[in-house]
Amino acid sequence: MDKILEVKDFSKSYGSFQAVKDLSFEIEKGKIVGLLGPNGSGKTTLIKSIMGLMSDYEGSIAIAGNAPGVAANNHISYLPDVPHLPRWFKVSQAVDFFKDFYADFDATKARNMLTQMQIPMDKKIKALSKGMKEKVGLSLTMSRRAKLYILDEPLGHVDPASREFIIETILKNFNEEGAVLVSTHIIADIEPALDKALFLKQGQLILNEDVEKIREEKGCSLDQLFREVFKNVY
Amino acid sequence: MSTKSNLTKMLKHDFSFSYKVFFAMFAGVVLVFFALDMFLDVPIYAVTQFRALLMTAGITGVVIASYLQILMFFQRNFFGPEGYLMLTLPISRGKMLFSKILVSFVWFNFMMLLAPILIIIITPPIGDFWAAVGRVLSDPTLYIVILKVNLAALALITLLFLTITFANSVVFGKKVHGVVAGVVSAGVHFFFLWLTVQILDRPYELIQVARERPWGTWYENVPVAGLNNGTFHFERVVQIPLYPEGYFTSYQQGQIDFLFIGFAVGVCALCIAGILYLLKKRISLR
Repeated sequence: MDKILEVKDFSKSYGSFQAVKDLSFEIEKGKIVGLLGPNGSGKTTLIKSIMGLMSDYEGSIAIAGNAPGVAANNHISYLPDVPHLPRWFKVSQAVDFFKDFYADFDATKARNMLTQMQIPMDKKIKALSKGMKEKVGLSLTMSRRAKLYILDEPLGHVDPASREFIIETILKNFNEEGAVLVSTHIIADIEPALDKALFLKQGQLILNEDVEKIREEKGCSLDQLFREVFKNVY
Repeated sequence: MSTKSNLTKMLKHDFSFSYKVFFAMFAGVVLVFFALDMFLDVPIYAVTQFRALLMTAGITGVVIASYLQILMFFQRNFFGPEGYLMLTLPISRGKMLFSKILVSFVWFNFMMLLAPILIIIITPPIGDFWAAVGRVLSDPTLYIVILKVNLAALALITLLFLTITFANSVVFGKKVHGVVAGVVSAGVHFFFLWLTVQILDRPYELIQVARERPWGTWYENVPVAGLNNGTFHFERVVQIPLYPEGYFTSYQQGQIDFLFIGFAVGVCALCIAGILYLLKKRISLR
């Protein structure tokens, strides 16, 4: 199978604090992978390093054969866990911005998704609620034909009904020649969409397994296993 | 998509990010000056102390506000939440930085145009205005001054950008503390300021020359023409108007300070190299 993301012996420290230690995994084409763990387990550190927003780490990261940087950014569609669109942008300007910089961006698809989500195109980003901003970000991200989609906590700021819609949007719109890496701690909603789960605990990968296999071998859902594994962390 | 077109698009977006604020600021100052000039009850042909104070305050305010806008734009675009968008674009950080510096440079020069506009508004000219404008624009020393001011501004802008980048970096595995960043930045700025003063305040070889004026012979100490301690000195003949009529021949000194120009270019290059190093190797977006 084609490897979209390869992480080998990835370690990252903040001074004397080891945030992530010896992380190694691969993501193949066509897979939706959940990067799961409680707050502070190292999920965002890993994602930022993949995106080139954090340097000075050990180990190697390759996205479609490219190290984090300009060439890799052409292949990654990234939704961060913070509102990242300029506040003074109108929604339509955000669409135009993505169209300008990403050759694989489908502006028509983005506008259709935004219309379906009932987001006015002439409204400024700063006037939108948190949930609406999340939806705008997701629409822009999923309107690209990228090789790797990285979604950092896409379900965090939306109501339960909208979460279902977001998961459907991810499933319907991702490029099947690519892969999706979703970081979240809201497992129950995302579980049906996942092919593979990576459990991160205190910076270490403690589980790297197909979701179906987990259910067969453990006899429980991914959500139940997550609660069991991380019950003493909080 | 070619890298050249990506840079053009970055420039387009950087201008569109910033133009409203700068236009509003400049238009606001010009309108305030118009209003004050219309309603202030002072003799129209007198450049009073109040008018001079007003002009100085206006220009200083715009300069400070413009610099702050330029710095906030850089900070927000790279190190605020927008950094998650900007720094993950398929465009190199070098080209992004070049775009920010070029946009800042354009707004700085736009701001420099404001000073003569305010002077014209607040101080109605005496005599033939357009002839005076023509004399000023045909003076080569004006363009040398513009070059020096622009280089100095670029050096300052890149130094301030380096300061901001340093304050948002990771050194020895830890994010730079705000106080540490402030102290280091202040130290670096004062060092370069001291160095600038040493370079600008240096002696030139002088000779005494006699000049004929309508009121008699006038003796001046002027720098030796040609390359003189890192500066190229030249002299041009100018005709100064006499009132009520006529002109007298005078001499205007000009200089191209190669040492200062080289220093300013060197500071810019050092700062840009520093920013790029920190963006590539020491960035930590929070």
